[in-house]
Amino acid sequence: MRLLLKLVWRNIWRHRRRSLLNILAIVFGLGMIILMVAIQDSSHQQMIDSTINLGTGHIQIRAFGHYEDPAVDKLINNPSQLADQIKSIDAIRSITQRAVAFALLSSGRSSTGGQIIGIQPDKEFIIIPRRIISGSYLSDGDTNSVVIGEQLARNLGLTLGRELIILTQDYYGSVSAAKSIVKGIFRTGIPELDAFQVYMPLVAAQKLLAIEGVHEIVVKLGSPDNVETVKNEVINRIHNNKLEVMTWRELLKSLIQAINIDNAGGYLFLAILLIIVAGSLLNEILMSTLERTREIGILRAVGTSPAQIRLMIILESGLLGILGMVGGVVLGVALSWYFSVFPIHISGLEEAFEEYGLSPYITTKLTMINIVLSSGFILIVSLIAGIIPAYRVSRLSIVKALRFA
Amino acid sequence: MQKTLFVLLASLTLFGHQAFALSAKEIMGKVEANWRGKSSHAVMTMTIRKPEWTRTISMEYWNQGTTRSLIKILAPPKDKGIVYLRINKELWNYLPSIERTIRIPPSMMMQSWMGSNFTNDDLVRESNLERDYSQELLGEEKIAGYDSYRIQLIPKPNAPVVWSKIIAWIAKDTFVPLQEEFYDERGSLVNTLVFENIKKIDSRYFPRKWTMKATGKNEMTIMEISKIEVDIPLPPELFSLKSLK
Repeated sequence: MRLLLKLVWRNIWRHRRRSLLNILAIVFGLGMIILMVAIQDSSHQQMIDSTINLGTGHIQIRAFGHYEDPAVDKLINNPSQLADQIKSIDAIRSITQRAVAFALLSSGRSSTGGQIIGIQPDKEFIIIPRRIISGSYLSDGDTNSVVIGEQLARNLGLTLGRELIILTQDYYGSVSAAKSIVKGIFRTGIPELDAFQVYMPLVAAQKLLAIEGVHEIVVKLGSPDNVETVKNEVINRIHNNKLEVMTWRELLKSLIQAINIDNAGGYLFLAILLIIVAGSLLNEILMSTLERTREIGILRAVGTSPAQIRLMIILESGLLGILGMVGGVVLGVALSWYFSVFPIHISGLEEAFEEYGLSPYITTKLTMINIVLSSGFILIVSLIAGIIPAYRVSRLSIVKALRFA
Repeated sequence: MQKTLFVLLASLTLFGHQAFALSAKEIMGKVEANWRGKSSHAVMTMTIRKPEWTRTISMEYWNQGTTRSLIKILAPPKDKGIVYLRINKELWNYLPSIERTIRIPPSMMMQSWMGSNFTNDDLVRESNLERDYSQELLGEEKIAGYDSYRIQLIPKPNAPVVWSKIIAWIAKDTFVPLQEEFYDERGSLVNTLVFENIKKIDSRYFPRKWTMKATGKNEMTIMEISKIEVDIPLPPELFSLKSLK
């Protein structure tokens, strides 16, 4: 076996330049794949973070069925008690209550459909306060103020200090209406929010809807890592089978699907690279075995079994793969690290990015899955590329091989 | 001679039968005649019973003929002052909390009225049980202690009706409906409306308690009329958008 490994090593370095070029191709290919996936992962993480900060949070408690069909009468009746029960969980950073309902919004001149969200301004973590473009955010004492999106304000012809008329159905199914003063206008860059949502104090929303409970208790964690563990802890503590506890993964199903589709594009890129690597390796191994036909004939003649010959060829290809893989991982990790420390600034587009709640920097997020998956595939492909020439060579007749010119 | 006498007797019996028994159409004509006065004014309460809650709304009602009516909510405090005005097929809603009048759009007509088992459409529906339906007498039955006719009503094409069929029980003596069953286009029972507590007001009979039950749901709406006057003079400007405030 040691002899075999020695042979493999010598065979690789027989054509030093050819082998080095092959290894370098793998190194650069793998390095780029790892960097590209890291950039993709980082932009996906940004999308998830921004959605979480726009209101979803990490964990939500709702009455059973409210997520599927958000009816006004699907209520959490004792929200403050529940919040007290879970607030001592270490991982939880903030807990806030919300009441939500669909409403007809009107300025008197024109009207449109929208969603009202009753919030607790002092406990809320949403990004809206940092996205106010005129006026100010809700404060705790407000009862009759609303904060609306820029597009909604434009659609209804509303400016600061003007009256917004909200028409909705209360808990009893009766028509309910309120007049509120526009205190602030926000811009998130997300059309569904800017043209659709009205934030008002929770008490005002409860009065409008004739309810005492709330629809959502939204929990934000310090770090999203242990969200499933925290979810189970929350379920244990509230111990109420009429309530549903959901993590952001369950709440943002469509976002996660979109990310998966984007990832599929990344895998396609990886597949193309793998085919190129496989072709180049196959070429090298076929060439070198053809050159060595007589040598292999001699090996066979002195008693080397076909299986040993096969193993030798596969190991040659595999060793090239391993060398390339090690170099590729080093390059990929180094590049990813570099761009996470020194992100690429996209100049000229800062405002557009900020409007959408994204940072105008391209940065990276390196995950173990990324490294293991990318390098694992390279290794498997390099071993497979050795199989074809290995079988071809092992089936040579000794006499013909020895006479090969 | 004998033959002539027989024919005479036979025709007499026939005529006699027609003279004493009413057709289904005639019965519904009498129902409509009793039901629709020139004007009325009533005070009533509506109790909505659902599994999770029960709610009582009290209101005042005026109507002039079959095309104009006005409902003003008196209690509970949250809904006090809400007014519904119906002129012909249009329904207007005044909301004191925003000091504005809204026309209920056609798309909202089939929605629940004030959370009850009645729809907005029930308030404005003009359908006439005699004119808009073809009637068929299915039989005679005793229901809630009254002798009644059981009549099937199938809407005529183009009639302003959402039901595929109504079965009505009509009291034989007063021509007051005792019960109506409403069937949807698939032929299944949707709502049952029961009329009780029939009182004579002036020359007409009127049920003072109406109960609308939704089939298959544990919920109902009960309308109870505590005070009613009929055929009284009402100022025409009562039924105008200005009077809503």
